[in-house]
Amino acid sequence: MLLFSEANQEWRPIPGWVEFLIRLGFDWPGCASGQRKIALISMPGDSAAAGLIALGVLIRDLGNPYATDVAGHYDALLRFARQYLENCRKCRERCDVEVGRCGYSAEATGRVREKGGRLYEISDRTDFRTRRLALRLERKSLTWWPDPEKATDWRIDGEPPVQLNHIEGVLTVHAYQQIVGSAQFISENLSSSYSGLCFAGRTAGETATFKACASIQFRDGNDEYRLPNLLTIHGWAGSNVISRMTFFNSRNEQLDRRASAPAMIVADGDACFLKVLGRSEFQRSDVIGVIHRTMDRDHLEVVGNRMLGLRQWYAEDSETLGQIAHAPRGISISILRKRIP
Amino acid sequence: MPIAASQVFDFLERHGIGSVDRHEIALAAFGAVRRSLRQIVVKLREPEDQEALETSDQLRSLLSEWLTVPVAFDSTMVDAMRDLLGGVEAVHTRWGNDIATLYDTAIHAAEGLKSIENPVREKLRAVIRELRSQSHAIKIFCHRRARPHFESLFIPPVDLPLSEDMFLHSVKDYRETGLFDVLIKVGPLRSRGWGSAPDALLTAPRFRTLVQIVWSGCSDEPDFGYDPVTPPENAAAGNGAGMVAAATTGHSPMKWNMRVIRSGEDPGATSGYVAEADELRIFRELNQSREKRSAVLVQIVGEHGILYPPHSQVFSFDAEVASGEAIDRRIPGQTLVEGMFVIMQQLGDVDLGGVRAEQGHYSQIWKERLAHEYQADAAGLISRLRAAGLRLMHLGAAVQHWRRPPSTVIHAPQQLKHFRILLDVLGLGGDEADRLKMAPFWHLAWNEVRRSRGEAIHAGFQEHEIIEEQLLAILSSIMPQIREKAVVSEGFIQEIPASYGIEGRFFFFKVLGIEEGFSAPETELKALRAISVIEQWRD
Repeated sequence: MLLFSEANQEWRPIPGWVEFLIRLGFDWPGCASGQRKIALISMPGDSAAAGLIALGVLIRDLGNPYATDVAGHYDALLRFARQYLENCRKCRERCDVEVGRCGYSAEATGRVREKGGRLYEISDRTDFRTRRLALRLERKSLTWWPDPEKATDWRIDGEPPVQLNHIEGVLTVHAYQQIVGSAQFISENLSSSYSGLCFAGRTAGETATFKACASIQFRDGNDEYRLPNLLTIHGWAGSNVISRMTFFNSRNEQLDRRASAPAMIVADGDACFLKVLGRSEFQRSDVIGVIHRTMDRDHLEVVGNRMLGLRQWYAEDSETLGQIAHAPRGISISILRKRIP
Repeated sequence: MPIAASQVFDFLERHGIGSVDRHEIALAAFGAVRRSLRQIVVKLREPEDQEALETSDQLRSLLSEWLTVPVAFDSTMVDAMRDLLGGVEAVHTRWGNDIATLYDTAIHAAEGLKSIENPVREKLRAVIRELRSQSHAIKIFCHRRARPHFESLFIPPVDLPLSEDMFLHSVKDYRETGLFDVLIKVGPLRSRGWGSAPDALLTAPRFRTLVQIVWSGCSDEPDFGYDPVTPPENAAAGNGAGMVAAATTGHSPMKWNMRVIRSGEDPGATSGYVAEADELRIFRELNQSREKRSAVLVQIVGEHGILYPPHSQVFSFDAEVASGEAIDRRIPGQTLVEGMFVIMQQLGDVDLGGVRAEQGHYSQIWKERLAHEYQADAAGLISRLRAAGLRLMHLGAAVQHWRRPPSTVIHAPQQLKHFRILLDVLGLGGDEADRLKMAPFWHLAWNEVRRSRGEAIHAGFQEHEIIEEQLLAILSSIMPQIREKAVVSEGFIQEIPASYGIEGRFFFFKVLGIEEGFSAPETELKALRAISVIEQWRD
């Protein structure tokens, strides 16, 4: 039986509140309807609740054949190359995209890493018309022309590998299977990264978010699993493993990789939730915000008023609420769904 | 560290329904004080007179404290009223017959109270003794400044003193406390202002029983126990009569059973005693009608504080952050929390009226004169000040406060009007110009006080981002010195090294507490003030 521990306290069966939150993420409906959903969950105290919901969504996505970055990776490399060659290389702002007002969300450094670990630079010889990407080893003149079919052998430097061909860094299904018994898994997803799910961390910063998640661990026999490792956020479990969700640092408002708009965001904390709702690149994403009620009234009211404001365009989503198990005492939920014009 | 969420959920599961024991206390004589002061507060709002408004604010503050804090019924009540308004005759001359009659009634009733013990204190003592005898784990939620009134209830060796860990003063304290049996609260449940408490008491309980001791007529806020998840149509339900907080479709709400226990005099049975009104609610409505901005209090050392508009980006220092982010702009209550330092700057090229006095230069002169006069005849000095129009609550204590030598701030009256009266009485208020500076002494001295309070910042100087960036760079370069000082001091000054070409200094004040629920005029924001002054801006 899978056991649970919080804040290094004694091992125990998974408590109801943890199971509920993971299931909430797992059962969260996909975006087939095309109507954006925004949920607010309030907790009776500070906790790793957002991380647990994100874990549930991650497990759901491991069974989704479309939940992979592999297909669009060569295009992503080309976009990266274009931004570098046409903008960032010449830009004098190193690098503040807000100041530069260039329209990009992050700098393109021009550096690409090969699966063996060697570092390459985007070459001037890249031809966007014929979609031929050219790379050269740093400080050397030899040019490489990556095969689009093997684009996943390359990754943008500083980002997780898109797909792994070796065992190391591939996810093991066991822990996830134990956490959600009914989950289905697609083996390709266990070895490929995905950026359609985003975990937005606390405004106190990434370290504070990591610490909150690290208070949660699971154990099956002799195997122990900490929540940060299960979430596979890039840098939380080593740099050479795949990552099944992006991380939005709400303190500096940066995403941990170059990704298109996520389908779903789980936001940790009131200030983070408000920031996520306000950002233009997230306007189509489903959002689950998690707050706790042990806050001053002013902070609670800011969130409440934001939800109230949304009601002009959104209606209560009793259908989704009906699909979710009954919440344990102390957790309250509101779900809004965008109205059809 | 906050309590583990699993412990909270286990607790909520075990104790599905909490209980509220609400003790409502009535006392005819205190009712007379309340009624009279309330009417004076309201009447003083009617004329468009700044002095009347200030007096009204101070009276409001006084009565609000008596309604939410277990104060002793002793001579301080009468003294406080007299400090503020003076004798009945003076009130009659200044404000007319109506107010003088009400004031006379209040004074007489308060004189009568001196012979009895405050029944709120009696009840509190009895409740705590009983809970202790049953070995219950007790906590008391109150404002930090109210704590001595609770502590004075239990004097050894008759009773064990109340230990420090029994007190909760803020939402942060509450968030980080463990589970316990009984929470004690004096005054109604309000989210802001006097006697305020976190909504979480009802929506995220860490205890089984809430014992509330209130004066009759003081009702809880209807929406106390607010949860932003609650749909708008349910929001008004709040705690209300049923005490069911935040019911919505998606969760199991907290449930509370309330028991009301009334004691004291029955208004219906006592001649001339009518049912009490809810002064706190009335005052709040009065307060809202004036042009004020809501504000957050950042409390610092030396009983001082700074009010900021909500969501202000405050220049601050976090000693626990090792990286270059130690100095940053932070939001009070959100990213700026207790233990960090707020930074205020005083720059040489900020000129408030052509004055370039060194800090403490003019204050040395008038403070020396004040000390001399006070030592010679304290009572005479106070009566001369009062006769000259300086009618402050606790004037004696205020004068003692002004005598203190300058620290990071020059202790002085808060208003120019009062400062000029003080200097006039001390014989320093003449309009003759300083021979060198060509400005009257009071002007120079007042500017010095203002500068010490950081009002240069308030004047909008901080808005200049370029200069702020420059200051940020300076602060980063002197980080080692700042860190050294921050370890040993809760308030210190850091001079800007001469090599930077900017003359000035930074003031670092450790944050002792952050509190919401203030409404203050624009002029009171972002300025250093004594807590006793800030109290009047509580909602």
